[in-house]
Amino acid sequence: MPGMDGIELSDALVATGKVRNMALLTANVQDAVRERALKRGLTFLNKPITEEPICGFLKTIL
Amino acid sequence: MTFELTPLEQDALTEIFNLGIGRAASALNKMVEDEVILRVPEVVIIPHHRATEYIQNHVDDKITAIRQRVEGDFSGNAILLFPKSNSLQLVRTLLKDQVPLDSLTELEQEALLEVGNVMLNACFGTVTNLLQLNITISLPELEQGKVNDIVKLGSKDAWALMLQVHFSLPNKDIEGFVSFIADVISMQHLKSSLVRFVNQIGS
Repeated sequence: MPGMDGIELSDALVATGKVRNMALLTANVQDAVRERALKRGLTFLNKPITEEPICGFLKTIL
Repeated sequence: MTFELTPLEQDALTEIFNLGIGRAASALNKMVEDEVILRVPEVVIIPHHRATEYIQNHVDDKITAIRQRVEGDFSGNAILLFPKSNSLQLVRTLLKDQVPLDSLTELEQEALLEVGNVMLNACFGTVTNLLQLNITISLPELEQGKVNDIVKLGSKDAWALMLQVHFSLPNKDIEGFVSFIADVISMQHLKSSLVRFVNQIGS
């Protein structure tokens, strides 16, 4: 997204104290990005996305 | 400044991009739910100003291009190219023909940008993972026009490492190319990573 990447957005959302469970949905498959996401406790999902991984993520947080 | 690879390094780079484009094709296959055929990538090192000519030899004059700038351990322009007529066909396949024609222009652009984003990230993310490099990939930009206008020329003296792979969806009569025009000035990291990669295979 323009101006901020998904991981930066997740940091900003965590800082608000209002959001706990997040998944990063990204086309970027680089190991370094995956590691940054996992280190923050984000679920790492790659594009193109299908229903199955989204349902899997939702089940973990409900 | 020239940039040279040994035949073994060139083979390794071709194979690494083959794996990268394989992942990109797998992503496209999921999006269109149809078979994607790949050719073996071509790797050439040519003067930067000949890159346009090289692409023109492979595609129509009027193209749709999704371009992303790669920066980091190596840099350059990653471009997904389609003959202009094919891009609409691809969009219709992606959207399963359910979209009214008058909505297509905006959706077409969004859909094509997303296809480019997913395929180019899949390809270059795989390449950097294999070579243990880090890059950032800019947001995709969509351009339509003549090859000359889209593939901007570098300095007359610069050399480009150019990778190009052809893919097609035979059932949909769609074909396209992924091209990467690397800035050779940034290629030392890539070269040393290739040497490491080749040595690992040999050991």
